[in-house]
Amino acid sequence: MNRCRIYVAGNPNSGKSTLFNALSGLHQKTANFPGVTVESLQSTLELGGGVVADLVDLPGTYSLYPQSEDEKVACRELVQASLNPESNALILLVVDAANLFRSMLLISQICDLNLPVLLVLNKADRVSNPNLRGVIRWFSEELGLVAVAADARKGRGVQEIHRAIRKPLQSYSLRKSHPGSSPADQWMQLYEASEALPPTRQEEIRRHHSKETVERYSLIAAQLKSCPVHETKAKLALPNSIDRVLLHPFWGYAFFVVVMSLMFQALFTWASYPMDGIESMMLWAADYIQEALQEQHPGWARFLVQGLIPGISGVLVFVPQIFLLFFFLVVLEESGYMSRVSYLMDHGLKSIGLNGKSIVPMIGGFACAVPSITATRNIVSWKERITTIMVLPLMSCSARLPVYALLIQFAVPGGYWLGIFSLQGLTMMGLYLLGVVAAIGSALVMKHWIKPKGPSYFMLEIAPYQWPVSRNLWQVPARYCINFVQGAGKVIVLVSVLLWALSSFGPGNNLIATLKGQEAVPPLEQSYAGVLGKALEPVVKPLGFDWKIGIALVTSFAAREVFVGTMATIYGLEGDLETPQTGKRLKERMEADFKEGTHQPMFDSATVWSLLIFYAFALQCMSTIAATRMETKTWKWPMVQLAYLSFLAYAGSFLVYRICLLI
Amino acid sequence: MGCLPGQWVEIVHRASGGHALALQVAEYVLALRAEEAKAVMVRWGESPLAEKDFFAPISTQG
Repeated sequence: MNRCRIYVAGNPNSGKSTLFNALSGLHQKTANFPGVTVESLQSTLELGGGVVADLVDLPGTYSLYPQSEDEKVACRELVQASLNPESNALILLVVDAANLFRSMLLISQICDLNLPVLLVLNKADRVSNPNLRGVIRWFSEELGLVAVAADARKGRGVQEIHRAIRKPLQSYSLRKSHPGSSPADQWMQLYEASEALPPTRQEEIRRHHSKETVERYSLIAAQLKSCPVHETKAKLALPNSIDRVLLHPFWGYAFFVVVMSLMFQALFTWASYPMDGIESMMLWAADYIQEALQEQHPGWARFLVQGLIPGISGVLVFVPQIFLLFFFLVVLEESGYMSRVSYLMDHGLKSIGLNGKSIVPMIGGFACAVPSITATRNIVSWKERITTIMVLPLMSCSARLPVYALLIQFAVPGGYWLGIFSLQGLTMMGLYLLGVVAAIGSALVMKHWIKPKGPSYFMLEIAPYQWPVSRNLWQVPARYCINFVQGAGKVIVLVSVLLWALSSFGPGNNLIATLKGQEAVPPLEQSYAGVLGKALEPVVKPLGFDWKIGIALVTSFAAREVFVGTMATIYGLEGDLETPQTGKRLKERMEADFKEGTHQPMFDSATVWSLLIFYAFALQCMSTIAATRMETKTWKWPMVQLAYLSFLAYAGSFLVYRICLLI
Repeated sequence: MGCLPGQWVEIVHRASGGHALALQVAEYVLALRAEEAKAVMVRWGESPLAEKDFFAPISTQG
């Protein structure tokens, strides 16, 4: 079987990942701003005739002179393929058909790599048809390039690309665009050595690159005189009435706040109906199983009703909120609004040691910190990138959502402010804002502590507005929900089952006899879980937590959403035959709990606020620690991150608990 | 990405306080900080965006 590699390369935001998805059938993340893809991703394509292709989606780059980490990934792969005589590679060079002049730099450099190139004129809907035919003819006659017009978002031209990539690689002609250009091996040596070179030498290289770029563009401008490209120019993207509001010094920020408020209101109000439905369904299932198994198999009934079902319920009930969160993020990312937010926020972010580009991973952090840490690769300044990574876990991710949603019900009554704004929704927004404020404060400290390694600058293409692709509005959130249920769900269910076991047996218990119902289940406090929790209690007591919350804090260290599953299991197991807890919602079970030896509710406002603050700041996510290690290539930064966030969580929680007690 | 000598640029937006600018450069809009924009030397002129050969260098300052 013959194997070849097809590299999907091009400028940022030219539609590479959309085309990659259309060709491979995968669902790689796409959005309407530069720098969405920051690492290369691979899929396999059957080309027929015994040929299999590895389709590689590369991060976008404006030239083969990389500035940021994501550009380095793309340049390295392309130049390596050029240097390997047995690479058997084809470059699928995706360019924005309405942005040809800028794309010509990369086109000319890639031609000089001496590899077969198939040019895709993407976003062809923005250019009139007769012009495009002329441009395709021009590329063939002047540069010997095979070009295909496409609109990957709508699936147009994908069949033609499929047909073109099935052609043998030998049928592509190779022609250098710029006779005096740097050969690939020199570029490779530069990539290898660039970080080890002294700053003065790096500056010299940068100047040489700038000079060579200007020379190339002079040749390109002369070449393009015979091309109908000048008639393809798109409309100006910015000076329109929408941007007069969205980029206004006052209304721009006000609009941003309104968008965020709407998002959090929707998370609480719209999602409450399906959430109630799911919870009722799970309660019904628990009752049904209880009735069916209680007589014959009491051990199994207890395991399913008090161990497994509360665990599953704890996962499923938050799916509607996670779906809505990702729905809003897709709308913001695909519309082109995110690049405007970067532009609007750069000044403020720069003053705290971050970059306008930091806002994209930070808002992405509302969904998940892990991909957002990788997304910082397009921030050129090392210091700004490290600072962004360090503060990212403070942005409340979707895993905190179930914890907030559960606890806010105890802290805030379910009313409305001005008859429109849900008080619980406003509290949720307040907690997200608290994360942002803590991130600002932490960034300010790091601004003075982390030393810069290079210049800081902000250059960003502001993408034209576009309507989100309708299928992405439900497919992307649905995919994240499935990932949540499969990924976090597995952990939550596993922890719930383990907790059930630890809570159902204690020292001196006969396991088989207890399962068969021949021996009584020990009270929770005398079970293994109880013994462990009691040992932990002195550490968490100053924060207002008891041993049950202590167990939940430990189990949720790997993933914070496990907290809800743990509470569901612990409180599901608390009942006995006289005071059955099944048939009650988790909130009702938690409400019925009292502080040891008192008639004071366990979940009073002091404890709940203390717990909320703890979860807002604590770094309870192994994947985040691993991602920080991967991106910084050292254990120093993840350890600093873990230490400062743990301190912030403990100290913040302690302070809030004490203040609440005083009030 | 950036401006070339002789290329026409048009300021399409100024951020509050003038700390950042959005420039129309050829077919796209480039946002950059005012301190970086200061490095771009410009000469005033009529917008050539309606002309056919607007990619040809018109001035060579920069």
